Amino acid sequence: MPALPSLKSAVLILPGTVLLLAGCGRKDRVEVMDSRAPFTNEPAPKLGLSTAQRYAANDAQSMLRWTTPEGWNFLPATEFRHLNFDFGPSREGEAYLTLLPVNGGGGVLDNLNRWRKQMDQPPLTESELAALPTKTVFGRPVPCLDITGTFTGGSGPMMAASTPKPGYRMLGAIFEAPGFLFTLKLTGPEALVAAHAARFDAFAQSLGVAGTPAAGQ
Amino acid sequence: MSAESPTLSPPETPRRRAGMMDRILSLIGSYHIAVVVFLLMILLTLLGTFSQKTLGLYQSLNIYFTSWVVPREHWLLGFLPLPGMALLLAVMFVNLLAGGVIRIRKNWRTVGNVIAHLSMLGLIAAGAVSLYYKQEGHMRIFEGESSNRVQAFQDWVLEVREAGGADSRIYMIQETAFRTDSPAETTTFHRTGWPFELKVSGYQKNATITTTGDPGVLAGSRNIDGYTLRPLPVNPQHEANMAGVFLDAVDLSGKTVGSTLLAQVIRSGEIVTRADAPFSFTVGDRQFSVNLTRETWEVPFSIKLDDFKAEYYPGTLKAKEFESHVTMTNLEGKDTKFRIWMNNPLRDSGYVAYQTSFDSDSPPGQEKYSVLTVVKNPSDQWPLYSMIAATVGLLITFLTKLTRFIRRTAVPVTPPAA
Repeated sequence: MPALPSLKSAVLILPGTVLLLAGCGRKDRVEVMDSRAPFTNEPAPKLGLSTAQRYAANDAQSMLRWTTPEGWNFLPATEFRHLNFDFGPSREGEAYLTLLPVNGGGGVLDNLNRWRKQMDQPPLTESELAALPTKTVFGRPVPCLDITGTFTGGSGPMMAASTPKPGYRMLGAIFEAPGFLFTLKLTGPEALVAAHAARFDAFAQSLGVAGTPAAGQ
Repeated sequence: MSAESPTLSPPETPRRRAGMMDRILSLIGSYHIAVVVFLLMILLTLLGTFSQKTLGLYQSLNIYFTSWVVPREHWLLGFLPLPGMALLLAVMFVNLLAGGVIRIRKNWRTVGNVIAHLSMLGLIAAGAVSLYYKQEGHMRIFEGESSNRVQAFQDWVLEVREAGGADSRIYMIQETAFRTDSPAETTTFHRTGWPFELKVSGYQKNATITTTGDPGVLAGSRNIDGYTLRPLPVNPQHEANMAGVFLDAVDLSGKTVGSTLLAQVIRSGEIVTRADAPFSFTVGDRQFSVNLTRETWEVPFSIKLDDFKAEYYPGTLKAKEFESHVTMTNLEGKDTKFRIWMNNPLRDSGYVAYQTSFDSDSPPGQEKYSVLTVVKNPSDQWPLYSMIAATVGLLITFLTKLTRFIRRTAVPVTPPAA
């Protein structure tokens, strides 16, 4: 048998091996073989947590349960928007929930009047506050705002100051819970808010404490 | 075929077989193969070195130096396949063994050469053992505290465990098994005894958890309870990348019993690893959990950081020298004190612990923790032994040549005439 010329062999063998190995694809079905024993004093994992509890961007998200309404976009949280959404064809409608420490963020009336000022409305008195219509949030009646006018408040994730927006509508609800002041607010063009008002109510009613069953379950 | 059938080739004889073996050895041990391998090694070294600028060290190592074949997207000019350095070294190993050890003429003149060749084989073997068996990670220890856990720098791992089951072991799926070229690909993981399979898809090399309304989210991204993966630019520093995947647990009848996404959360610029909050699902009356984490393992000793000292360049926050004073406690409870500083690692029980980093965010003198790189490499000392052998082999070769040269060139001394 004649010996193959070595250079020719080298030129043939290497690329051949390369092509052969290159053809070896990854497996799409794999048996799990690796394992380890639990570490000394390794804490048991917390089971049964919701996605929001596991990936909460803040304490509000980890403490709360909610249902995001159809058509709302769940946005990354910001410092003052712990649950943050937008909606509408140009995502011009905004809705968010903020948790403020009870003694650090003013009271219910202070915050409602701050919102009224954003819509160029005079402040309410305590008696007018008591006369406001209510929505059910966290299973309790909560005073609600529903104002139409020119919106002058900040908008966007960074609450950037914006030019006055006539023809806007604001829906809001504020209430105190032990340790926290919950503020729930929705703003947007009047027609858009009208289309989303029922979803805002549904969202408010869906709020609850994480780990507890939602209403009707 | 009858016994009387004529044979077309002469019968095999020991001499003929020996001749064939010699031809095979001649072929695989030829200089030509060695030259081609060396040229390809030079090419890979050049490509790997240049690629570090864009791909980073870890990626370049994986693509060119630890691979058997360079991945298709890095082929030369886009269409010429390239062997990886692992393949070239394997070929070189066989070539050197055949040509430089087995076929070489063996006499006292070639002893040095054989030793030098064996030392090169030792170096290649050390590299192979290191590539497949080396464990490397870091141990972060706060002053006054001790640790016996090492966390991998690079790769992520899916950890699957059963809550309260008979099998308390934690099963691990390495990132290399679920890493895919395209997020559209799915890898299915199964195990005997598991009443489910795990389907891992949407792999992102670097990603974080975000909400589905995040403008940074790719169109059509999968939505799990309002959360999704936001791909982040792949960092050339591989250890900075955080893998992300979608995961579906499917029971053996094909019904999905749970779906989630696994990645890290970034809160106010800080990475939040929720190691204690895995995804959990139930199949029948059995509850399982899956988490995505850096691979972590225990070492058979603990290291307590007694004191950490750093010396800074005057007027700067740049550390000139830093060192850890530690107490190492082995499984028998024996304490040994060590000082670990740059280029002076702790070596014990087959492990090496290097001083690599520290808490540089705290003011000088108030550093809170030290970071040690802990390596277990079965071939840790093989390169040293190989180089000693190479030195001995080359010395023998040179001295042999020198002796022969001196003998050949020595002027014969003729006795003076009487």
